Amino acid sequence: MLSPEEQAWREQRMAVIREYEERELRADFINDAEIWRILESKAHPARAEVEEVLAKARELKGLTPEEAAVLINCRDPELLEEIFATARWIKEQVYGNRIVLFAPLYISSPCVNNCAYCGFRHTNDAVTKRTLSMDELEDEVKVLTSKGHKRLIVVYGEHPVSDIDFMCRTIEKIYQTRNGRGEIRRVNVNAPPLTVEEYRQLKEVGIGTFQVFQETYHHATYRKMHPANTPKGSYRWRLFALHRAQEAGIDDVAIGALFGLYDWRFEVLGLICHAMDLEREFGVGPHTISFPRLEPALNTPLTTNSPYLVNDEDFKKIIAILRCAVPYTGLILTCRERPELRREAIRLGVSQTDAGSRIAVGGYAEMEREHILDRQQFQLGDTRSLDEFIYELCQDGYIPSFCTAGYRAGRTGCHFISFAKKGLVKNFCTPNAVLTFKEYLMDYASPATREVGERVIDRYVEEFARQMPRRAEALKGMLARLEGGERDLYF
Amino acid sequence: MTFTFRAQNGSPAGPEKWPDTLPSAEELLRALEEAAARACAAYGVPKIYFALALGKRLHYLTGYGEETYLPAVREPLGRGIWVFIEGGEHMTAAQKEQLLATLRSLVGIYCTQECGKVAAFQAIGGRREEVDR
Repeated sequence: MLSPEEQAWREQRMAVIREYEERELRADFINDAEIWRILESKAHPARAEVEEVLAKARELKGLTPEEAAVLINCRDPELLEEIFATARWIKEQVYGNRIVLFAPLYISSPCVNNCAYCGFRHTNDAVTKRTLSMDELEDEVKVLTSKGHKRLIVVYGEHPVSDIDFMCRTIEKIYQTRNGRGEIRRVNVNAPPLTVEEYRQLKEVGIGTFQVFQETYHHATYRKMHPANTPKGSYRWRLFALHRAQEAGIDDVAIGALFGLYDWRFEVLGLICHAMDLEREFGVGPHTISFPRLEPALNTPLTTNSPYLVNDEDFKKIIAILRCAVPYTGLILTCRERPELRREAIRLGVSQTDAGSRIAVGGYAEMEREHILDRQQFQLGDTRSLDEFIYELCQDGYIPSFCTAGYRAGRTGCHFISFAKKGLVKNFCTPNAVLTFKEYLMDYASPATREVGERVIDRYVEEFARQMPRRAEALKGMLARLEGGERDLYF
Repeated sequence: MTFTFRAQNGSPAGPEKWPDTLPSAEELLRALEEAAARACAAYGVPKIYFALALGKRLHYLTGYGEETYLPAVREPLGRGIWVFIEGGEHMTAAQKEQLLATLRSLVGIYCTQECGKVAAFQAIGGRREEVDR
């Protein structure tokens, strides 16, 4: 039960939301009936139609909802393999063979919402909610940086203890925390929707991406999952959260859906429509899309009973189709998934993933405990260390990346998209992956990972030298400077 | 407002005409873009762009030129604005100082205390704010 103070805060927040809803002129761009009409109209796509859509995807111009529906409804195993191959090709064309690594950091779990699928819902007394103190936050960051992490996604509940001032203070604290050579260079934020003024305040501390998941785009399901008397009960407030962020000048925004709440085919089209609407209004779509699947959570039966749980094969389709549909948007896969599935899924167009994650509030301080179920929002499938995961990435031919160059070199929003859409962003991504991975190998890697990692770097530098000799010379010079003791060099 | 960049050694170039009224954020961006274009032409530099510092984030403002995909040299211009110069290795130290002095002068003009808060630089994203006069 919420305390009187929590209830009062919640009421205040809802008054802000109601006032917003009266003023918001934007039209809800998710038309449930239309999405179903599109899906049904492409229910049985012919081979030729699928191949035509894939040919268009390879032009790197993205897909319309109708075209995505063709791929969604494709069931031919041979054609599915072509979809997967196309997704792989697109990702390599745009981003190269690099995988960006980050870690989640849950800072505060108290929440005034009561979402049916969430372990942190306020009526779930089986999960202990807590908020990190500044000292505890510093300790968590030091553990993360001691493993080699440079990028975080920080997560907050919707609660008076984690209001905008708290968010700003904690983000500043993270950036200020040093641990020898360790530091966090980019903080992305997963937090409740804010007002434009709050977004402006957050922007001043210098965040990376602001992330809000719609959870489900299906209106009736949204109402069912999110009680009306909670801030999260407002569909429109959440749907336009990132439009408001853009209004405030936060031009790197991220969307997502929680797969398992409703039909995955609908949610894929919902995500595409959301990306299109952001691009329509602001000239730039989301920086990343996430597609978490419902995972078991303590005392949360929906997470295992939902009739819409997504199987592994459909999950792979989701990733591949999104990659084809939004070629310039990062796709984030998380440690929710089992190691063997992650290995397959990464090949389908994923550009970012976490590793070495702990999702209990204060979980990194107790790193040896893989699960702390009574303090976690849900259960993780992959609890391997960052180093183990990096070793596997190297074996699979990827180059791990801790790059944070883009947002520190002014490559943000429309500026980023201007050369991303020429398929040339990998000209930055690849050398920056090499540089940040070199730092990791020198400062944090196990001997086995260092050995395999150095071979990966040599291969990439050699390839880069063949393709872009002048830039390769610059890269070699910077690698030598890293070996000489400098750090944080980037294109 | 117009600028002249002198490619030869000499005292830094400044504006030929001071503004009659306090400029808006839009005017700031236009001035920066024009300055970048002129500097690229005067110094043979492929690309120059500007960003506003927000914590660790350098938020793109405007720029001119063709992307080289080479590491840029970045320099502070004051008021939280940074300039990125790509492909300027051939510039002499004097030329670079001249360019930076002119750009700093430009930033100083558009971002005087009389302009009120740094809202002049909040010309970002889809909406632009007027300078708080």
